Amino acid sequence: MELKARTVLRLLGLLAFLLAGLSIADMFRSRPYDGVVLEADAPGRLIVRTVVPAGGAARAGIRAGEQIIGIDRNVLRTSGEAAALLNRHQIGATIPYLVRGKDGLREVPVRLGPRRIGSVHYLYACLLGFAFFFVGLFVLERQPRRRPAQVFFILSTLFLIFLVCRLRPASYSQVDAFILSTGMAAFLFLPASFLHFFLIFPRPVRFRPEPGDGGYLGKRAVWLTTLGTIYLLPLVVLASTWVIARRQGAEVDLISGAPIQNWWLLAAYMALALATLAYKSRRLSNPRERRGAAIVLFGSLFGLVPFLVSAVAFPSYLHTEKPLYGVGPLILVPLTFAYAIVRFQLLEIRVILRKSLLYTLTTIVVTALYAIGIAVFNAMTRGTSLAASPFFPIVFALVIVLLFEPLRKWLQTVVNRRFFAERQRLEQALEEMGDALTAQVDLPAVVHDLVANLPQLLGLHFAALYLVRNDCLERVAGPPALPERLPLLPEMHDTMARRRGLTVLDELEPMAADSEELGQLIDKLSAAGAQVIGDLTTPRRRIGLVALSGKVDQTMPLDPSELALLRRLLDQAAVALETSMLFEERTEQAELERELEIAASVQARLLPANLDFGPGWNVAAVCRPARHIGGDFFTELPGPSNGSRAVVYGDVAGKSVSGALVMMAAHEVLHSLALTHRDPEQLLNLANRRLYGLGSRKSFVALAYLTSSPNGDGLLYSLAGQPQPLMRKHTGEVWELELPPNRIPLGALDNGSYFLTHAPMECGDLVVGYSDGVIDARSPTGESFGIERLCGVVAESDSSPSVAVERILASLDEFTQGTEPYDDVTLVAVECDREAVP
Amino acid sequence: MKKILILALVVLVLAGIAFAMMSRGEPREWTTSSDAARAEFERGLEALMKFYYGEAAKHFEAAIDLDSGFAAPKVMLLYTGWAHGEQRQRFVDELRGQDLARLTDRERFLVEFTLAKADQNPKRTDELIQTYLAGSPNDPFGLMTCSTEAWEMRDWARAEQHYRKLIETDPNWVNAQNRLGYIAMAQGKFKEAEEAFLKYHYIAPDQANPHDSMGELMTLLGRYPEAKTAFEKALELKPDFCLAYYHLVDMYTMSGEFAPVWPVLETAREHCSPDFVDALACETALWLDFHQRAFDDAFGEERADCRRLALKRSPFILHLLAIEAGHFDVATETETALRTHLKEYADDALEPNIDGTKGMLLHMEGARLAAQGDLEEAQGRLLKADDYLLYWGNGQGILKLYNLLNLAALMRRTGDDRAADAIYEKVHSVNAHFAEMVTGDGSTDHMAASR
Repeated sequence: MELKARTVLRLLGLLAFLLAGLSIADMFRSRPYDGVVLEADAPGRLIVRTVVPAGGAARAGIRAGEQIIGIDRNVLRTSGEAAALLNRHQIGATIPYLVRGKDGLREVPVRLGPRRIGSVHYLYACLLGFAFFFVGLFVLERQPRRRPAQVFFILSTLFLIFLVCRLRPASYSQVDAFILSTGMAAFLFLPASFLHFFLIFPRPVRFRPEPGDGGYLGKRAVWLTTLGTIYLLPLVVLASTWVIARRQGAEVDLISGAPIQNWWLLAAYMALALATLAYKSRRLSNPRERRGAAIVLFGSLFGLVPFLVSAVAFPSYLHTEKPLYGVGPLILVPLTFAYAIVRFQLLEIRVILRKSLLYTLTTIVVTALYAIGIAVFNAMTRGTSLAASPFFPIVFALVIVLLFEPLRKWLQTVVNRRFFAERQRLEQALEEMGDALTAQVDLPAVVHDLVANLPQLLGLHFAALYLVRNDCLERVAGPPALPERLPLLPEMHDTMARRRGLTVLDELEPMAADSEELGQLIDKLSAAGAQVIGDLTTPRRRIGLVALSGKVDQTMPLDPSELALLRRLLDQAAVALETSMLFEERTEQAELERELEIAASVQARLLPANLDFGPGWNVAAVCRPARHIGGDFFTELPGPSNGSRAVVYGDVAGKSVSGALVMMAAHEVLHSLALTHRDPEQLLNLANRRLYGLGSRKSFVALAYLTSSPNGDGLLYSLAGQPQPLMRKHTGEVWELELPPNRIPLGALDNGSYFLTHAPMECGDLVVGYSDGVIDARSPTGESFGIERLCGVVAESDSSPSVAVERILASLDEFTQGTEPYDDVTLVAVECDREAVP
Repeated sequence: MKKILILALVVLVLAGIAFAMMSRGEPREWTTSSDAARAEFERGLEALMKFYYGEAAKHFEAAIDLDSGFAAPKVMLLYTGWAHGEQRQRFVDELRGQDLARLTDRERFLVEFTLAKADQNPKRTDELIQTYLAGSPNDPFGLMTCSTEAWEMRDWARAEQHYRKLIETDPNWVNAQNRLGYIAMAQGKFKEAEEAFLKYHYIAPDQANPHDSMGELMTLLGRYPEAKTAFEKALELKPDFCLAYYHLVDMYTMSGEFAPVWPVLETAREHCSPDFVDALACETALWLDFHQRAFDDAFGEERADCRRLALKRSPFILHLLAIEAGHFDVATETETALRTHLKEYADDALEPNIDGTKGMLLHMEGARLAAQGDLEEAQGRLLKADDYLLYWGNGQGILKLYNLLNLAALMRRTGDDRAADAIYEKVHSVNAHFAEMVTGDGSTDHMAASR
């Protein structure tokens, strides 16, 4: 239905345009012409409206107001007969005319000349008509579905036909009669369409029903009836005027083809239309719409009123060749309408003016002004002593040059203020917003600034922000109607990257056919009112997504200039968000580091500063976590026999915080069990069970238990997952101690049994226990420290446990060369020093 | 979109058909197999339009020679009265035997009408006119026939109505323009009459008749120089336009200029019949006697032949002289002759001047009775005469003015000065020169004298 309506409108416009064009083209046709312009409002009679100066009729003495009775020895009935008679002759022929003037009939010879194209006044009327038409066409093409635009187009087309066809200088041809009649027909419908337009522009009157209103069908019938009446009334008035005149035998006085009664009706319609517009304008809530409507009201009032007054009150003006007094001001109507469209987006039409074009125009205007000024000044000073001075041209030129640029700039400022003020304000506001965002490091503040301020600036319903978290996009701000999470879709982001980060959702529809997820995403966002999505990406990473709604007061999406500004802003916002996120992460990290430091110090305090292995033994231990805190530990426990001591060193599976927590649990378990169970095997079994019951099977503890044998001849040890300690004899040989039968780490299995193994030691023997962090330490090239190297270091080290430990640590440092430690390192060295035994 | 295209196609096809129909050419007007005969006939019509009856007749006869079955020229010859006697009867018989079915509607009407006229069946002629105009209300021949009928029946209102319709249909139908001019003149609408004659002249500047018509109007209005120019132009265009000589001489007589008359008569003698010129010369002589008040000369032996001629052709001047000279017997004789003439032609539908003649008779009686002292009777006669008399050119029109002046004089004699002044003003507004010439110093007292 809509398509049909648009097609019909376009056809109507095309017909009108062709008719107007043919009307003008017809005037260019070369044909013999007597120089008479006929009165169009005297059907059936050939009344001279005016004669072309120096034309045949003028030279023959024919004057305005006289009636042509006969041409070429034929008394005429119609102007068509006159045309046929004239066309029988050549240009230059002289033919007799019979003319009725004030003094009666007289015969005059008239020489035929070439047809002269219409006057300046008619040219003006044509320009005006086409101006109306093209403004109307532009409006229709930009808003083809909107009824006000459609009605405005009809109104503009009728103006075109009226101005070009009805105000055409009438002559004899039947083409004239047809065209003038068409113009008159357009005039009949003009006031109705004018009123119709202002009943629905800028907002429809209250009694115009909208779909969804209660009793819509009934109200629609009333509305359509009203419209029908409005359109038909001029025809009824015309018909009744003719009928009454016929009955009374009187002649109907015509003004541009219509009786005065129709002109009064036109005046009434226009007054009603303008009053309606004035009333509605005051009640518009949107200031932009209000200003636009005010401009249109101004143009209509000052453009139409002089025309109506001159036609109705001084109809003779329209009968002259100087209709400018009435028709001239009509130019205000299309001009103000065009201005209102450009300036205030009337009918929601956006016109993006090229600044360069307008600047060029202002330069042309200034140049023209100067040219006129120069001409006027020259004319004024011609012959004076000033003009005779040799310095005059130089001074004059300097003055021009000095004034040109400031005037041009001033005009451009005016243009900017008039046409680009809003855009400039928006640019400035977005720029400030961008600066504020980049200066902000607080993520919530950035989010708030972006989501709260953007809708205000652009007049949107909402803006929403999604950030990349946990491999998806999580909504951090925006209306709850939007989905909480959106998937990360590479194809969508690629598309957005190609469109420089900002995409209207509708443009992604074609891609939805290939991707169900994308289709669902688009549907969800659209359902919530989003229209535009923007990618927030920095060179380093994808930050998130911005979803923007449509405008509060318009049905159009954001226009290209706004999208361009938004792109810049979003780039800045992405950087700001990234900075804020980094800042947040850094803060978290710093906090974490601090907590780790605290934990490390707590953990370090758990490690005994000094170990006691009993008399005749020396012991040293060190625990170096790979991170702040680690899973390795050593501690001293009561030995199996009274007065004996044991050293335990452990390695928790896992590092950092998790390892440290298990380490502390193991430490507490061992200490608490050791209070009641001194037997190492029992202790280890119970500890195993306790640790097994704690939870995650990943959290087990590799442990080594060292104690002196009751008779002091050696070492008793048990290994639960730790590597075999190294024995370094006082003679320098190094070997690994024997593996006990069960070495399952504590907590790995529910039931484990642990056995002690005896390792005899002589005075000066050194046993070095170590966690696997020692032999797994990597060099920068990835080589492991290994057991052999360890043995070598142990072999070369002193028998003193602390020296041995330091030696091993130094060797490790030298090997790893500062590479980040792979694992915690624990060393326990026990030396048999019987000589120390009292 | 499809529907719109189909609709546009249909419109184009219809327009094409209409155009083709319009371009078919004019329908045939006259039924003849000979193009030459048609051409002759159309030339005849052109001449007929110009009132060149002789020339028209020649063309019509030529058309019949080329196509003996061509009905239309026979109709025209009968209409103009050019065909008479045997030829007339032959044409009537041939038309009766015409196969009317092959004729056009117009031709059929013209044939039937002509036959009805020949049968002197006015009811039938009326019926035919009504039927034809009902079907072809704008056909110029139908309108012309109807107008002519009305003209001949002296039904001026109907004639005017149809002539107007005729010139609405074809404003270049000069016969209608001329007749409308006369009708307007007869009704005292002199401006309208002048316009009609001007249009006539404009359409047919090479015709003599419009000049003659204009001359009559100018004479009536006392615009003698213009009248002179008009008559001279008419005679320049058609030197054998004898009626124009008559009107020119009449104009001189009315204006009181007699010297130029004689050369005019000399010229007339070259082109017109001797009887005509002699009668005109006699009338002029009698008028000269009247102006010079040489009543003895007027009734002398030298003028005896003139008086005899005048009794037949121009009884008014004879009567006038008789009244002025006190020869009431001559006056009565003149009246009797006129009365006889009236009786003879009372039923002649083709005599449009019957009313004028009646008016003239009434005027004569009134003038005589006034001179004889019977003022009341005289006034009654003069009033009645005014009813019959129209402003019909420089004959009847001038007589009407003269009758009114006599009436004014009578009213003054009976003491009704107001009415007399009003009548005088009325005559003065039409032809001031004539009014002043007749009344001398402006009074109407010269009528008071009775012999």
